[in-house]
Amino acid sequence: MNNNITKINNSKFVQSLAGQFDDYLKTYELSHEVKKLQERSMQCFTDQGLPTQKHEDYKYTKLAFLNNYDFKVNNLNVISKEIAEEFAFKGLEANILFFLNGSYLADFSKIIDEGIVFNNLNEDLENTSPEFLEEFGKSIDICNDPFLSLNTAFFMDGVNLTIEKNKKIEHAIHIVQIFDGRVEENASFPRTFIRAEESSEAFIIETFHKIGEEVTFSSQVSEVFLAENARLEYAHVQILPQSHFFIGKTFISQNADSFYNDITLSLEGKFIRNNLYAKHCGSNVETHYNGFYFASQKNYIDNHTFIEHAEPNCSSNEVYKGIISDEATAVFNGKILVRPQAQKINAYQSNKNILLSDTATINTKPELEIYADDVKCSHGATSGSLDEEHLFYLISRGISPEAAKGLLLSAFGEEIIDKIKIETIREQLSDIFEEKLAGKMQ
Amino acid sequence: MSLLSIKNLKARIGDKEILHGVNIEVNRGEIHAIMGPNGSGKSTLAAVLAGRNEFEVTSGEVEFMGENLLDLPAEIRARKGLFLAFQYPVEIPGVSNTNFIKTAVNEVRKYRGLETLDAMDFLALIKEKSSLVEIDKSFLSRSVNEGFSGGEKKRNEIFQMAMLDPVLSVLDETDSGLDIDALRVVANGVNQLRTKDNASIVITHYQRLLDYIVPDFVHILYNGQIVKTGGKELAVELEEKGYDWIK
Repeated sequence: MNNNITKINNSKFVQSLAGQFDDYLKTYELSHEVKKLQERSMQCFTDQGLPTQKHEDYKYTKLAFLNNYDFKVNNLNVISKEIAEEFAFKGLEANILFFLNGSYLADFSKIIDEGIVFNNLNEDLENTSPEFLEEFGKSIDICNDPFLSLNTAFFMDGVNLTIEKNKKIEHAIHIVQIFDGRVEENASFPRTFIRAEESSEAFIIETFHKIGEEVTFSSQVSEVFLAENARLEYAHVQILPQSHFFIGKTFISQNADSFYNDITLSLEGKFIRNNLYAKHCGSNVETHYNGFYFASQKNYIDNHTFIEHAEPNCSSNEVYKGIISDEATAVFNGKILVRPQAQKINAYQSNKNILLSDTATINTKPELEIYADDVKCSHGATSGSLDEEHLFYLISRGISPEAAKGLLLSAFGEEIIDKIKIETIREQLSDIFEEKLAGKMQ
Repeated sequence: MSLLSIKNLKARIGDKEILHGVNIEVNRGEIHAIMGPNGSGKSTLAAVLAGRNEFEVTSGEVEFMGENLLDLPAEIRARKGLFLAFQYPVEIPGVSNTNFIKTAVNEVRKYRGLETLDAMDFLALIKEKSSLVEIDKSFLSRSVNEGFSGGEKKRNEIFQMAMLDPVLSVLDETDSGLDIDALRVVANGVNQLRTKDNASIVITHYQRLLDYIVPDFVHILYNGQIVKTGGKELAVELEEKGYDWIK
């Protein structure tokens, strides 16, 4: 990646946020190290400015609209237990952690399983230990991307989660991120730090929600570390109203013999930009990326994925599917980098899209950079409408064309939703998808 | 009044006319066989009846239960009681066979003014009808036709026919690709579904199927026209003499 991000430092978005930085820092008692890190990040953010479409990574991403708002950085809001718990899965026994504008809500959160160590990041930021600083922020280059810099400059709290060695966590770990637009146009910066220790196993699902009417913006960063032989599944579920703009970046580092399964479901959202970045740091690693997006109205959903094969005998498998309707735009950019030493690897990538209208747009681009010679890589992208043969078969049985389309689209999306193994969660997400689909079929 | 009346039906795909004026009358309680060599227009006739829109009807009439069939969209034809058993049933990944059939059965019932079936009634109906074609349960939870053998696909067609209770069934080369045991199962299903109120059109290339499903009438379709009509003995004669005989 390069740093040729065109500067528009005079943009309102950048100036307004930079102007709030000093006051924001004063609100908290941070350790010297964290303060320095955040100051450096803010400098990087203002140096880079808001990226324009001239920047390759943001080629299809129009961001100038962010200048239309007056976002306030405020993570001191509170909400009632009733409001928060609306966002929990019904009937699910789970470890649950609530966050409002990125700040931990200790009163409603609970850990029920052995083998999980949870701190909210704010505690760690005030009293940073050498061990914490050893790992935190190590998988990322904070000056590499303006939103990475911005999150690192402003985050004041977040998830600090460790799955202990040899522990298999029985229940799901549900992280509920709520954005608050009740009072003002808000900008929030959730931060998530997950460590799966040697031979541990867990399923984490992070869901994103919005309350209130004012426009809100969030820019999240997650760092995930898998030690040897760890097994982690991490789902990101975005069901956001028209008044929220979402940017999320997840960085995964995998050590030898580890298994990582990512499931990104963007079921609703005005503006969603997801970045996934996994790096193999040991051999015999397995990475799975599964994604499903449903873009409607004039919405924009963008998935940029990256897998860095840096070790031999590893595999990655990526399946992204999307339904795009109305005047919506979706972007899929799947980069696979195979370094010279990464021999005998398998990398598979597929992106399938169904366009429901003539005015829907998909920009899909595989990007394979392969420097090793003994590898198996394949990729494929499709975009089109539903299969006429399939439709006719269903219609010929008395099913209306609308219902037939619904059945086929449902099957198309459910393939990815099915990757969520906990039935209670899967069924509720499936219901949300089906309801949205039914709305489109009327 | 006949159940189905096809008069001087001409149809084409693109610029190519395939049916050059077909005439057939089918009454309730009858089984008609349509035989013909490859390319004679058998499958085109089935597709036109079912409402496939890549075929354009250029002239002629088709009346089904007193209505102009050609005016009706495919799903309405099905709901009124027309059923096409496909020669090549498609595989539809991700759509469960049960969900598909339940949706179809309930749409058809709604149209006919019947109450839709709840889960219990539906299961009972499945149990009753699946035994007709010796389908086992695992088959139903799988995706529509996905990974089914040729025989399983054809049995699934007859199973759907049993579930939807059509007035007129058009079986398009249901015997193709079947071994003798599967053929017997399929034919047995069709025979059991036969009543005095419904009718079937069995389209086949070979006489073999007609040993099991005995037709009242045999029509020979050749080059887009019915060139000969007779009783079941016509099929035997055709088998002996070959299609060259009718040219």
